[in-house]
Amino acid sequence: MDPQIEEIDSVYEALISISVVKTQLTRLKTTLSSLVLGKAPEAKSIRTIADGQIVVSVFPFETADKYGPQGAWTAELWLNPIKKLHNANI
Amino acid sequence: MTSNNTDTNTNNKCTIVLGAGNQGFLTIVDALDILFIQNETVCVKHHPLRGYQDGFMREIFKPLLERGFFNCVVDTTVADAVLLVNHTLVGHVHMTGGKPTHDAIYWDVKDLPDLPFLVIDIEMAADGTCENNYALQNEAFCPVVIFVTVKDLNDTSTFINKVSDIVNDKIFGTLSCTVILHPEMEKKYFKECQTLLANLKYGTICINAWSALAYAIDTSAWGAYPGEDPKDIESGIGFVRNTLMFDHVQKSVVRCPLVDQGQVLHYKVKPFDKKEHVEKVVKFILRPGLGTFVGILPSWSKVMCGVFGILVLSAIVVGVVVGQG
Repeated sequence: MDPQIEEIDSVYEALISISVVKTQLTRLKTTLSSLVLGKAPEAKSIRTIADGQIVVSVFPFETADKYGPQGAWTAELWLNPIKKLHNANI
Repeated sequence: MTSNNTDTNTNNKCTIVLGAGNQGFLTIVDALDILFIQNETVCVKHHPLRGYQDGFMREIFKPLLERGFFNCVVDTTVADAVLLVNHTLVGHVHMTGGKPTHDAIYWDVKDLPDLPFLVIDIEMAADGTCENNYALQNEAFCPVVIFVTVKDLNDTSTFINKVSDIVNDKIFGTLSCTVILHPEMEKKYFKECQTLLANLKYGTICINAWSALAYAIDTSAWGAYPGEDPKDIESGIGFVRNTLMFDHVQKSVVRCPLVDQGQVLHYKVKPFDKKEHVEKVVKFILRPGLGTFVGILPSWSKVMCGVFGILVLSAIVVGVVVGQG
């Protein structure tokens, strides 16, 4: 591989790493700050599918998520059907 | 495979994170997950390919390191790694790796199989039987592409209804899968597609994108489908990410446009010919704003200056509109 291309790839990998870690820390800080106040982050929408399974919409979670590289994506957490909705251990 | 291979630590012992080799950020995110979501102390053993992370991780985690919540060691020998995971102060091992690595740690299995390098075609009957299922049942950490043609599924509806049984029962692993699903197809076979998503036993189901990209969504969860037994491990136990901290996660379902900027992670342009450019981009990632955005504008590009002008004008217009609102 062209050494210059390889270096560019390394830079991209480093930038992606920084972005991933920063996002994780920022969101964790928000969640834990809510917990300190006795509140869990509120899901944007919750639906129940045919067999009673709870499906929680978790992305986009904030307006800013819509303007990131995954802005057109959506993500849901499907919870274990036998469990009640329960987040952040409270 | 992400294998969080013991249950939640209840004995106040340390968790060992065996650093991933494939991506540098995985080790950092895993350590954060153990510290702040699972509420355990961490010692990271860096992957042999990622020993360079030791210096800057010590810097990043310095406040926790100084208080004794975090530490990290570079990889030395397999014997040292074995000593580390078997240490009496270790109550939990978190690893990214394959079944052989899991079994070597959990069961002290020493025979690691040879890895194939193949493109394989398999014909499968509608009941899931085939002549040789080795490739479907053995995990390979190298490029292996397997094309499975399921015979006698004569219409789309039957195929959608049957495919979850086949992949759940006949293919090793439960970490993630990709479903290629055209929106028109989903509209036409809505009920069948909903049943398919509900029946697939994977920790992450990614629609229309390579499933690994779903890791980018921090609020979704990444890990094996719940219910695996350490005696017959496939993709592991436990989830990471899940920054909203939902309990009882069964799986994540991530939907993406088939063609989308979020899927284009690497493109061969050359904006980084100087260290200063990289530093400015890092500043923008860490503190996005007009000031840091100006910093990443390449001075050589009149086009970019034009875009910048439009952005400034847009910001002013939006500001005025919001102000009036």
